[in-house]
Amino acid sequence: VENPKHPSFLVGKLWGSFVAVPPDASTERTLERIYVQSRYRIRPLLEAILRHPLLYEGPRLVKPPVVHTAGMLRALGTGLVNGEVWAGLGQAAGQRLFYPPDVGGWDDSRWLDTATFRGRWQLAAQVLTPLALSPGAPAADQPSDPGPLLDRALAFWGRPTVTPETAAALRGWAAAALADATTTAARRQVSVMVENALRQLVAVSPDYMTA
Amino acid sequence: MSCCDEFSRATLFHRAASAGRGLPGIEPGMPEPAGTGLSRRTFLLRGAGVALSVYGASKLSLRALDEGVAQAAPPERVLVSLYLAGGADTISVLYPALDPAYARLRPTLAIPPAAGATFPDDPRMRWHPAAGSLATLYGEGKLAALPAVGYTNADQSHFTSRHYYEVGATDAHLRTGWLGRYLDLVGTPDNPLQGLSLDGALAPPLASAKAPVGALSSAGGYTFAAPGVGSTVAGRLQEALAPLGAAPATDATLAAARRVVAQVDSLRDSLVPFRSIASPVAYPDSRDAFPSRLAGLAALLGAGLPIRVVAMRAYGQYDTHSDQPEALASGLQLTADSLLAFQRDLEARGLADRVVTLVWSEFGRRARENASRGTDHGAAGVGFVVGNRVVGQVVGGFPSLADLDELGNLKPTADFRGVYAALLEQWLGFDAGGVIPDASSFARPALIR
Repeated sequence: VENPKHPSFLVGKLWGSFVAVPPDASTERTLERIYVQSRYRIRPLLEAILRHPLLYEGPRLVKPPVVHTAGMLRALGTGLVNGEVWAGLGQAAGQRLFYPPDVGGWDDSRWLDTATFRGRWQLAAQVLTPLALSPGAPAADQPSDPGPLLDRALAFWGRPTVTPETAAALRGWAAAALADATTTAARRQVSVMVENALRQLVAVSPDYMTA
Repeated sequence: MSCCDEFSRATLFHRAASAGRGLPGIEPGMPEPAGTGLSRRTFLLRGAGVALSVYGASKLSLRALDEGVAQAAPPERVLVSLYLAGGADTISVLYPALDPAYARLRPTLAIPPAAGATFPDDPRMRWHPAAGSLATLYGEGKLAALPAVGYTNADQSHFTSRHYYEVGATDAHLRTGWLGRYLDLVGTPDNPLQGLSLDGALAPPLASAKAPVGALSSAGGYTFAAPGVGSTVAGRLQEALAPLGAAPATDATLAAARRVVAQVDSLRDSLVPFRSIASPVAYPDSRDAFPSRLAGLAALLGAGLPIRVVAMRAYGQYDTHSDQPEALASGLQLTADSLLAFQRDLEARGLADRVVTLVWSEFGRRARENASRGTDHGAAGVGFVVGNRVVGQVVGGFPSLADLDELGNLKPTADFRGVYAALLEQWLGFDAGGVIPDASSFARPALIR
């Protein structure tokens, strides 16, 4: 902390973890002042960043796999059952905590590619497996139309924001999947499967992987 | 067997936790791997196209990528880069059994003369007992052995030396891999299969500046399942990816994420025929994915997909600071046997004249063993070039145990940049000057017939 560049370095680093565009000079000075005047405490600085409008209105960031997973678990109120499994899946998604070259993971510009997307898919499936609805025993209030099914899937995840385009794509897919069922009984069963699938698809949607 | 800190996430974690003062500096001044030059901020500020063009995405639409893959002709020649992680001990892989200095430097690790197959071109040398498959390939004239490949003033850091090999230059700041730069010059802007990583994430040698490249965990494992969907809906599940990827987005990051989803769908479609790979030859039975990845690669090439260069990591942990005999034998056995199976597979498919594989490691081990039945980081290391068209001979000569450098390390007899230049020019038919910095200063060994 004695290095004169320490406050600006820390502010830049912390800000960049949450906001996709750099702070303007005035914001940067304000944040540095908050940090120094608080006697180098992180919490006031973090609070100021988290209250800044750009966090909510600025461009999106790709969620690191760990953040993606923590968000899923937090939304569901569950914890990690098997850390070893998580570590392996996290690696498949592109992030090994504490692994070189930086302690955050391998490379935060590689969070999303064709290989790591599959890792995220598997992470979501791992989280969802113990909570999957049983197609053999549909609930009495089980909906069987695309709109309500998507609504329930979004509610399952704590209603994350998805763009209208993503919602439309998911509803369209659900309608096509439901059309495979030709009888009322079959449609009830398939609707449960579609709801399970929508939970999975919401969790790996471009909207949910970014924030 | 234990490896050094750079290779041990657990060690770092526990040390930091016990010290209670944050994570230790892993290595001052270590270079970032090729492809990591764009930080997240840069990635976002400069737009997704730049970053994703390096790692497998592009600015092109799904349709354009589909057409690009479909229209790209399979290249006449394919180069595979196979990495032995950790710094493999060259004087164990090919060991100077009859050199008195060998027994003196390796009092507990020296492999008995009778244990390994005799090296036909030099009766003093033997193949490691676990490298019998390499001996077979050499005997058939399909393997060039590089027993002391390296560079002057070798850096003994895993990070730094590996980076040098990945970028094809002793330049800590270079951000593109040598194969990525090659693709930048000869590749097409709409074919992400032209540079294929099989390790689950992009291999730094493939990091390009503009050519899209793909990363795949394995050719046969690119499937997407979800819990509780049953076979009926499971069959339709992946149909959701295309519309999710094709939906419009104004936010640059969201658009980039959509492009990745679209590319996942495109790549998955390309690979559907390979979910159940029927190899014409038997690969080693292993719980590790390495043999099946090679089998998948052969199948992909056999199907005529437009793959130009491939990068992947071999089985094994070659950072053998302690208990070296067991770790080295384990890694070498499966790697060598899998390579032989891959060669046989290519031969059975009629592809053997089209594929050459380069095997490399970031350095060798110190000539003198340490006190833990292991060896520490050295300089010159081992390399191989495998294929039908390879000149099956020793490249550069065996390193002298009587003429070590000031640190007690083996001196190189071939420069890795010269090897790269030779592969570019003799195999890929491309002037190395545009790919390898200062290429004209490195002698090209004769590698290809």
